[in-house]
Amino acid sequence: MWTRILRRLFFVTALAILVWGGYELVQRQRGLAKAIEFSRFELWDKARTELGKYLQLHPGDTQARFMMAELWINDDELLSNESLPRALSHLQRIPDSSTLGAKARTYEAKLLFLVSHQPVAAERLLRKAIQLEENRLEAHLLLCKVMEMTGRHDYCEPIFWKIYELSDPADRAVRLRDWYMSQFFPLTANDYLDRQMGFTDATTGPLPTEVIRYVRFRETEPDAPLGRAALARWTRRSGKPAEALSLLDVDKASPDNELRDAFYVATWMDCLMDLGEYAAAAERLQKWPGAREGFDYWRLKAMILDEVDEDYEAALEAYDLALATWPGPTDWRLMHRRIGCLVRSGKQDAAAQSRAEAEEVTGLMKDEVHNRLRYVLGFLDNPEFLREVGDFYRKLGRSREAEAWTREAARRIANTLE
Amino acid sequence: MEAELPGFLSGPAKKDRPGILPRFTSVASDARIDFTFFSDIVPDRYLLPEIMGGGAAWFDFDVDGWLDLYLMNGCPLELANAEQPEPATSSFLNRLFRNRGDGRFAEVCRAASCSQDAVTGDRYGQGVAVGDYNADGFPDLYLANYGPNVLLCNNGDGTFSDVTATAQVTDELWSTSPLWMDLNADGQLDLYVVNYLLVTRENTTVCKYDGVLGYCGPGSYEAAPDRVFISQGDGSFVESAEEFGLGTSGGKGLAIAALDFDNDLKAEIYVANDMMQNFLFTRSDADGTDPSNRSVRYTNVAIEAGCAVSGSGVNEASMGVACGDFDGDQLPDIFVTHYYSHKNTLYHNLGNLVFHDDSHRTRIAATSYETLGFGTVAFDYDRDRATDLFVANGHVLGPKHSPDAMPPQLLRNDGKGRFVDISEFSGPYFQKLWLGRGAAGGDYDNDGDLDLLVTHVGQPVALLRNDTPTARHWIGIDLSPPDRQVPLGGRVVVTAGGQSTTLPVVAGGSYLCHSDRRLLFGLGDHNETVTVEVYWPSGRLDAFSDVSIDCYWRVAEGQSPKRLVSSI
Repeated sequence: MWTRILRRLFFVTALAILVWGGYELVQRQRGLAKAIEFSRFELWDKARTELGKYLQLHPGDTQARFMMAELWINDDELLSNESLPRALSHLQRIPDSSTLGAKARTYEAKLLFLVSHQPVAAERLLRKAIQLEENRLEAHLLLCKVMEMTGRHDYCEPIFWKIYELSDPADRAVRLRDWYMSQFFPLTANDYLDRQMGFTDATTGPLPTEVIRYVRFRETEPDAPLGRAALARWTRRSGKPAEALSLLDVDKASPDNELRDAFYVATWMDCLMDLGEYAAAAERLQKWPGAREGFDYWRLKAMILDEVDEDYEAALEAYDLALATWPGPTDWRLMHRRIGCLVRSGKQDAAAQSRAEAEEVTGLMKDEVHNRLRYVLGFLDNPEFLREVGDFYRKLGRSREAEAWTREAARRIANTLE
Repeated sequence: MEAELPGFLSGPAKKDRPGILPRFTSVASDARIDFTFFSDIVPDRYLLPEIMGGGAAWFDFDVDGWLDLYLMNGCPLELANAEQPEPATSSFLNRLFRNRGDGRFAEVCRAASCSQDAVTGDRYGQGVAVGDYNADGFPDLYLANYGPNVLLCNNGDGTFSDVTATAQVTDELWSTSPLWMDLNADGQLDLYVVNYLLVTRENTTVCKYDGVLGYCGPGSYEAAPDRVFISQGDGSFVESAEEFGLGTSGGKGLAIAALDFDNDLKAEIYVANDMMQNFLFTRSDADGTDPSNRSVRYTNVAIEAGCAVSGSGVNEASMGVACGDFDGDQLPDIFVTHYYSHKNTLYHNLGNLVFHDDSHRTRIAATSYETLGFGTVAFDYDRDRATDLFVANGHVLGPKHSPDAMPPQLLRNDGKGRFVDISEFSGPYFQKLWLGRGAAGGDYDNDGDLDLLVTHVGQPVALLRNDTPTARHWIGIDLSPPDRQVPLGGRVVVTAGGQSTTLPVVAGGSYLCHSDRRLLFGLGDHNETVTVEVYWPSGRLDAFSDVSIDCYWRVAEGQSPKRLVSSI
């Protein structure tokens, strides 16, 4: 009899467990749906609890992982140091090979840049995202912002044209306007991001926003050369090359880190040139990291060939390559260096012609020109205004932008006719 | 006994050319030169002239062989437009200090009537130029003012007369640096008057820098056009800037220098403009015509020559100018002082009126980012045959801004045209902060090295006696006997031990100042006689061999050199 009682008890218990387990399973299975429901009402904590249950059952569900990361980030009641590591840990569990791999890397990058102020880590993830999904617009957009906000706006051109290509035609005028701002007003082009990231806090005193930003980047990624180079570049442009050089901390420059960074090396070389250390600058050019191309490379090579080697013909070739690469077409200072080189090589007529061209470019950089352009760019539905912008680029010899603006103008005229 | 510079001069520069520890002793008090420029700085007024300082001139007014000193002075600026001017006080008078020849000076201005009429308070002193315009053997003074300028004729008896009205050389614009030179090649001295800005009490604006009020710079005011007064040969002048092609508009000039840059024996004129393109006027004479009938024309070639703007095309805030052969290629180069956090500029003369901004390679740039330079003197302080530089520094925004006062600089040329700042080894004066403005070089003790007179805003002038201990040798050449005009356009080549050094005859230079016109050559360790060649503007070449050294020689065209006085 006791045996029977025990058997029944066991059976009832097992059944209860099964029923409870089944109930739990169903509940957890419904966790995803519940989480979605709670998130609609911004009940982030409950949504996370439900989604957590679901993820226990489906740890490899990348959609759910992504959603969990969003639930952490969207919760305004949490401090970023509470939510960010959790969100990142979920994103990091989404493998590159997943269909959400590129999206997850982009989102990680966004968090690392906007919240953690880690541009180098963000850039690495964005490049990975683009490698995984070449046409991921968001990744290109954010990469461009990372470049601009780390003082590398001059390096953005290829990224911009990819953004333009991937953008919906209806958005292209706005993209072009952003590009104009990046080209001619790089320090204020991202005011909204500076505010969002807390760099334009009223308590920051008289320091320019970009300096506050660069100092922060240097703090968050002390081992990365970028923050130091950005700060040094700004300092050098403020007329303090010796101080800029000390900011670069070149004594500690590592062949595997700083010396592999063209932006860092270019800033270093500029400081050396300013301080008359031409031999050291020339030596550094010989060890230029990465591809031997781009504005900074050609510019510095031209200056070394011109000032150190006095090989004027080769210098002129390098000047031409630099001036053809953005921001070369606007760099009237470099144009004047080239003019000096022409004079020294006895080409007075060519120098006179180049002087006139440089004068024209200098005129196009004047405040009154850009005050007008900024005004007309407030009316992207006005085809006449858009043509005006196109004309400006045409005068600058920037046919690609000129054509793009002209197309936008034509599109608006066509829309009006329809 | 020569003291070597410590080992901060590394590499070949130290090995090849051991430096000598400079020593400049501040001796103004001992020399009895007690003078502070009256700047009339009124808090919160921000009237620009009050921070520009005043000029100085080394010249031998009594032709006794010793350089005397003339110092410009300010006056109350508010009186410029007042109906009832206040009586003048002695603190507004310009000063003349006569060199007694014993290292001391005696103030003789009142006796000499050498000051302009400060009673009206509308002549706020700026720059001064020295030239014997009436060729009577006694140097005269043209005083540039914020307010009407003044021509003081040296009567030759120790007194001066104000002849501005009869000479018709009044210029009521804000003048800075005047220059005497024979502009139309008629044998008479003419005047080029550099003018700065159209600033009045009424149009004065106040600017904010990082939220703090300060003086507005040249960008806030229109340019005042330069004036050119051509001598009529009868003691009167006619303003003729346009006629001679010198009416180029848009300059906001602070300094001027005239010398022959291209070895054609005709002086070019270089005008340093503040935040505007500098001018380089070159002279062309119509062929086959009589030079006295004004066939002379000037053309501004600064842009084509590459010395209008920096090498990267930037209009720089040019304050002072010094010319000298800094790289030993026998061609005079141009050094221009500029604004804080910007570089000073050294234009290397490549010949044929082509210049190259060589500021970075020469390390002129590296020495100047943290200073705001005004007056400057090119001279060989240690007689090593390389031209060094002195720069007077000081900011212009006002005392509420930092930096304000600054240390001056002595820049040593390493003999290869590269400069090292050796100020910290140069004496106590260089360790202090000053609002430096004018700087004039003159060998007032005739000991064969150039001494320096520096003017300041709000601080007494400094007389820096060059006491650099060196056994190196020198020779001085004076090409302007009392009865002759300064042979501007000419040059002197001294060859010692097979090495030649060329110095051009220079008029003007620095900022608001007039320096000793004698040419001083350092000879290094060469201790024998030298060869002297004088290239006169007439085309004549006088060459003298076996000229003894360590003394001054006076040379007149076509005559044998005469040995001059010895030192104190």
